[in-house]
Amino acid sequence: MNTVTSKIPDQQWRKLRQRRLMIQNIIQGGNYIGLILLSIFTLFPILWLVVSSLKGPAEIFSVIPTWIPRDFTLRNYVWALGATGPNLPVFMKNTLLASTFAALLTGGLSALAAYALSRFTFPGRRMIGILLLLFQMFKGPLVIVTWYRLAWNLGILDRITILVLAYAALGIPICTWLLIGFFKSIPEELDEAAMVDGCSRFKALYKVVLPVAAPGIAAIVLFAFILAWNDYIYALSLTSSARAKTIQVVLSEQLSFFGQTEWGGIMAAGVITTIPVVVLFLWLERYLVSGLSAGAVKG
Amino acid sequence: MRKNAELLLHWKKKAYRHRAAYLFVLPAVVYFAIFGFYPLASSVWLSFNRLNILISPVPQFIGLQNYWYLFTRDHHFWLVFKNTLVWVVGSTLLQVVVGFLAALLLNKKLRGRTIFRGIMLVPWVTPIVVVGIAWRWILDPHWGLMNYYLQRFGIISDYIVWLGRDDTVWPMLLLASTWKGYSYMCVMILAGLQTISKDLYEAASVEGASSFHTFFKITLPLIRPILAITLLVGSIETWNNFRMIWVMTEGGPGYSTSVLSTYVFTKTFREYQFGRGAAVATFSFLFVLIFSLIYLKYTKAEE
Repeated sequence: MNTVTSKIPDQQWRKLRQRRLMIQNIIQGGNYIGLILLSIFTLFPILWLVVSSLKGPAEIFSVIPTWIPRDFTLRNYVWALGATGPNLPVFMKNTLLASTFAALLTGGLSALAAYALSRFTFPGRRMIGILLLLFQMFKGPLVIVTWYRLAWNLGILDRITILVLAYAALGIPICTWLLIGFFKSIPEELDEAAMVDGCSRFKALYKVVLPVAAPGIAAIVLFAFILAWNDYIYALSLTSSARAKTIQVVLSEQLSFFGQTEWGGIMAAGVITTIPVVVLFLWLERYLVSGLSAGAVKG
Repeated sequence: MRKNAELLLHWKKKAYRHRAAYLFVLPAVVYFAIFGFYPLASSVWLSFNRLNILISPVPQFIGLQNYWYLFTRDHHFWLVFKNTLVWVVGSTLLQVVVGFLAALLLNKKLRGRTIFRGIMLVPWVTPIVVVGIAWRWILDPHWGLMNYYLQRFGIISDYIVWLGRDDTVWPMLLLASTWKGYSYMCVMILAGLQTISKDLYEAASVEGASSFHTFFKITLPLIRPILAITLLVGSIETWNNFRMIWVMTEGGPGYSTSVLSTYVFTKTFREYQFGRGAAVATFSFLFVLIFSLIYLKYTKAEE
């Protein structure tokens, strides 16, 4: 390389370098513009939702949109939380109950299964792994007819119980998959050392591995919570009254009831519904994103 | 007889040796047999039955009649099927393209990229109903931003009912679904990009390769396997993506944005034809399964 470059006269070499630097700068500038455009595209619907939810009706239904509310008001939020509107607290409680129990059930079953799938080789292990992936793909609308009949036959239609069962079924495959990767990152010598010291398998898991794995399992439980909180189709088809209806279903109903008149209130309700999951997710982002994508790289 | 007994003993021994493993997976497997496998199998079985919950709660076996009805007499089924293909191809490709661009940007040393990574994932976790609210508000025929800005910049002359017209409803659905889903694709592709050794790029740059060249000769070939998987997972997700369409249009206007997954819902919970709904679901499930198997075989053979 050096012998080649030294043959080029100094001045020409400098010119070449300068040109190259300029091109690099242009590309870098283009990259930043791309990043900014993508950020605008990503953020503006959410921003517009939040901004609109803080306006009074006159400003919401104005011909010229304003990005900074002129008459800032929280009236929409009062409507969203009050009994005259969608009465969100009631449904938030339903969603919270269903999601919490589902998340705990998912976390428990997934952690046990993932531990076995990551630590032992046994006949049927591959099969279980493949089935998990398959069921990750076949859910929602494909099985909703049966879920409805199942709930009907068990007499738990329009109950939180059926939602818990459905959400756990929804969450177990992906959560087990994520946890397998997580358990694999914990050295096996740890359980072996515990067993040499006279622990049984269960004791080794319970006393040694679990404390180390706790943050990962907690992240998975919260992820299962987000999955359940964001569900729409199961709650839409399996619940029908304030006894079990979730916040998502109520929101969509409000949209068709009051869509034209109460936009502000509905948007406020939307913001209230979104905040918990966004906060949770951004908090967990690092754990989950690397886990989710690790599966893709290996798969 | 003796052979059977021996075999049984053999299995018993095997099960005993692996008892700890089986005990750990047992709860999840049992749960899955009941709440994962059973609903799927039962859905298939139900598709061979007539069941209209308004008339009688007891299913009546009628063989392939539900399928026969869908394929030959149902006025909307083939339109719905065609819509599904358009929806899956359009939505997945757009998500992958935008996700790929975002991943390329995030793979560079740019200031503010960690912040962007956080921002990018907000649409992905936003509950679907809220996504519906946000976009329907933007696309509102009277007060929406879309009409306002497009008219102001002279692109349209009159306000458009975006979700009420056959020719504008699909582009808007694709826009919203790209917005919602591209970050997931980006995360997958980015993970793939990060496995590519930096040395390769350095070598290419020393040799004087343009970034255009580098992309097509290094990045794309190396990322192909992960791209193939991402495309498959994305297509299956979109195929079953009931919620995006339901919160935006409920399959309307008419049936013009109905896809198989929303049609299952319409048949089952709007028309109370549980058998036919199950038939649509089963058809949809088989189609995806066969498509996935062929796709996997084809991409594996190529590698």
